[in-house]
Amino acid sequence: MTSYRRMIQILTQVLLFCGVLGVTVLLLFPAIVAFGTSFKPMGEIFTQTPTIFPHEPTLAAYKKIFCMPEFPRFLLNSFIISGLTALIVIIAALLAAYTLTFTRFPGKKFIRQMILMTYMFPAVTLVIPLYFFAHRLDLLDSYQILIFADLSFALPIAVWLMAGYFEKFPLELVKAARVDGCNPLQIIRHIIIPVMKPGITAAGIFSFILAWSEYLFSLTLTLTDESRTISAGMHYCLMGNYRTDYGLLTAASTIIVIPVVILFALLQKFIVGGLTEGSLK
Amino acid sequence: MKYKEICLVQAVLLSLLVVLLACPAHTAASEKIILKFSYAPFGFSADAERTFWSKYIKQFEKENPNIKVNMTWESWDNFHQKTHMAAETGRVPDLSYCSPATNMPIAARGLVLQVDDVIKALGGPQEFVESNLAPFQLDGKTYGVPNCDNNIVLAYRKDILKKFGFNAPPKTWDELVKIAKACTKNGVYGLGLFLGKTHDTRQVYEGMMWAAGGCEIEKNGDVVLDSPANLTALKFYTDLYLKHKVVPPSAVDWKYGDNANLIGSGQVAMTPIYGGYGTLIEEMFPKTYKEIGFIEMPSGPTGHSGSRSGVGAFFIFSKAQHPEEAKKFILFLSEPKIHKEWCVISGNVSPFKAIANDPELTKFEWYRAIARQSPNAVQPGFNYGPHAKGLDVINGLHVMAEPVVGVISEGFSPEESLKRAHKHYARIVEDARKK
Amino acid sequence: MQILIDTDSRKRRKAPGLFLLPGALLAPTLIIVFVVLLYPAACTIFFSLTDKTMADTTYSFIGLKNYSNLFSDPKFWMAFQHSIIFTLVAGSLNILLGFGTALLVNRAIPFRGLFRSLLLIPWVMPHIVTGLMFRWLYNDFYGYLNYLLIHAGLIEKPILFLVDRAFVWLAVILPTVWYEYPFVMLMFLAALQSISPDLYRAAKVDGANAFQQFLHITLPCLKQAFLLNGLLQIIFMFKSFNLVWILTQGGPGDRTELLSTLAYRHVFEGFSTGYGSAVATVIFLVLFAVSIVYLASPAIRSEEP
Repeated sequence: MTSYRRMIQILTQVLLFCGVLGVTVLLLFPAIVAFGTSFKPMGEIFTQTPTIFPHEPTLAAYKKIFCMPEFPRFLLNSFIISGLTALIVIIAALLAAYTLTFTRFPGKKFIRQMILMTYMFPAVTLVIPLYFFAHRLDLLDSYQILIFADLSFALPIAVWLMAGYFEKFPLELVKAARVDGCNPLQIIRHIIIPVMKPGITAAGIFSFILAWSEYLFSLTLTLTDESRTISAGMHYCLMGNYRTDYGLLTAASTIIVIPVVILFALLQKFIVGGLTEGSLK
Repeated sequence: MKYKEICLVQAVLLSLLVVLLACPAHTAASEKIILKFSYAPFGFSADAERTFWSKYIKQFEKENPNIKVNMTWESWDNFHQKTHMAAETGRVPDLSYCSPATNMPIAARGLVLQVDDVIKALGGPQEFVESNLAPFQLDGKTYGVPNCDNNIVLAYRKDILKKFGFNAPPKTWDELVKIAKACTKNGVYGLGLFLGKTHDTRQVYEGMMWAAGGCEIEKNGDVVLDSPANLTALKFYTDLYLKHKVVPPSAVDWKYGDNANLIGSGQVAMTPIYGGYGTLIEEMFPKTYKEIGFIEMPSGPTGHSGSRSGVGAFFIFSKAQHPEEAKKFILFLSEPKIHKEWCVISGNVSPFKAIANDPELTKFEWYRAIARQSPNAVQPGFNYGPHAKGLDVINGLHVMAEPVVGVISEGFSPEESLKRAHKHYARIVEDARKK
Repeated sequence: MQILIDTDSRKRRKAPGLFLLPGALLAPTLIIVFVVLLYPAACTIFFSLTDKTMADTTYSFIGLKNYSNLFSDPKFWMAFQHSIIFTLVAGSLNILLGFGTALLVNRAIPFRGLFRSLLLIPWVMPHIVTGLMFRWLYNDFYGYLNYLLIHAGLIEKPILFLVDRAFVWLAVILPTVWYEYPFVMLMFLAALQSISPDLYRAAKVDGANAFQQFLHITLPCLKQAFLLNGLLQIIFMFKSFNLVWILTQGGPGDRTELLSTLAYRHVFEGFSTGYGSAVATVIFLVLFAVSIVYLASPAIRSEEP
């Protein structure tokens, strides 16, 4: 009986695995094509019978990118800007989400709704005024303005996400801590953070990815390569007026995507709370 | 006090922000003069260009140890807009490189430095091909030093044409139709012609207008888009798709470079294309490159051909911090040896009369074609009329593609479509003059 | 809950000011969000009342003329209609696909972490690459999609996805959903993790099967997530721009013209900052109104703690 059950269980697992694999391959088809293309020699990219993987793989496109003198600078800029953005988002969103969940004050709901206002203007029309704003503050071509721009787009989602988590937080714990005379920061530090790691990680990852892949602001608000991020860097140096070099473009996108995938693979453990593991125990 | 700790964290957070804000954005503590050079790629092969620039910047810096050239590549998509924003804020690069549609509207507002001294140092205006220098001149003063020119020529597949019994490419519009019709077979189309609302459509159409004897705007500023010559050109253009059916239907959606891919892979027999693509097609399709020929555009009813010229020049903002160093750099790059190398790498014809037909350059088939085409290439609005206001808007909105799009995608008759585009064109020019 | 409110109100009486504590904690977020946003947003609204063109410093105030021109322009109303349809279709597809994939990779399967990371890729892929990859897939000469369809015997002649008026909306929505679903997936994944496993354990003890568990535990617990994602999708899709621009630029003709592409066309191609800003302001006002109504609706109010 148990072995029969075990069989069923294994079979379900295998089926499920195949299902997920199938869905993933199907969904990732364009990305797979892109990945395969990045290894193709020039002449193989446009053929009448399209292939996914090259007959004669080459690293030429990657070599070209790594030979670009600005490349390390772009990469460093991206890490600094995305990392700082994620850090500030986590701190600011924790405080804000705590306030919006556990305290009461007039206008709370209004504020919570209003922070979504950032998303309601099309970014393409914001970018020109933002350029003049940055110019007035003498922040053009600096990390700061890019971090601020990224923050203003990452924070609202992070706050909403965390507030959603906090609402599920056992209130008795907060209540008890307050009775003990803890202040909000102590509560956040000692009670909320340990339990809310998944939400915090998720918010951090969101912000990092947003900042990492953002290119419109990075392209416009920088004047030299000093503070440009890799997404913008790749964008401007690969998009000539006359043609699209698919080899370079796909190689560049692979380089942009891989660090994020690795980061997510490492951190997703924290997002994964106990649901499935818990139910299996 | 429970607020103490809150205040502490707030202080830390706010000071982090303040530090971010207060950090000097520019740490140029070097004694060297930093020459900021803003550039959008004018050539066709990005990595060949990259090598060229870094090589000669290094050499320039060696010859001028007190100068450091800080070159920033901009994306074509936002170069025009960024140049305008720079003009508006005054935070400008020392040197820029662009086409007349970008710098001449700014020059008209007095924000661009006059460079007649550089032109003189290069031998005077007579040393330049006239149609390349004229677009950068306003009221007898020059605001850009021409450095490259490119124009649309006809690329054709020698193997496909031969297969259908044609040993020579078309020389006239009639021959073009005949050959294209013959070559349209088995999924291969005779002619790759842009049909959407894009740069390409308007540029090819503008060339055909010229070949039919038409123009857009008169010397006195009158808009003459709805002339009979332009209608002839429009009918010829759209008939290729609608009547002769020699153009692939997907051309409605083509973007820059799509026709290069198709002629390289043998899906179209001929296509009007910037000659500089020659450098690129060689790199992309090394196996079929020898089968691809380049020739001037076929002649229209006027007996001459017509093409669109894309001229590029160096220019300096009036507010540039180091104009003298910028001029030095321009002169350095105009030295014949470096300049010739630039022409080959960027896929452009030289604006210098002495170099334009240099045998070192004309040995390339694509170069020969653009050099021959050059006298019949136009920079609409800039070299066959006054510097009319509003031309940047007309370019930006692709107004000159509207006649074609109107016939192909919106179902208007050629007459009606041309009339509508004429009205749009005239309204923009009028609005711009009013301001 | 009751006690919490009581402690709060006691504190309120003691605290130096009603807004001090929340104000202090919210300050960083509000400063960042509104200072960065306020200036450009105010500029956009102001420009929409002027006849400013790009790089033009001598412009004049013309009141609501841009708006009256806009409202009498049939192209504007057509784009408006397109935007609404696009938002509804693409938004619902995003939520369906995002929710589905979140459920899948929430199960205990081997290499789950890897699958989660892989499914995230479309979101991280630069838009420009996504757009160009799809253009390529659709191509009639060397595209993968037509190749597969022809070889499967489904069609005889290649479909011109970006030219054919019947297919172009599909061709635009497909990559949009492809790009956006990982975001929705992540949001749902995070929400799924916040459901206490105890609930499922209790349900199992009560003999509920997987479907019943899904219906009676998962769905109700995700209500908040659905509502938030719904709102965000309305906002994101209504001003969706990049992919449509890369794929069709609003064409063929005006077939896929959205409000966002219209705004871009006027600001960046026609250099009429004033008129384009008016379109942007309309987008903002619509989204603002929708979100107020959305968040004030009874379904959401009942969810507020």
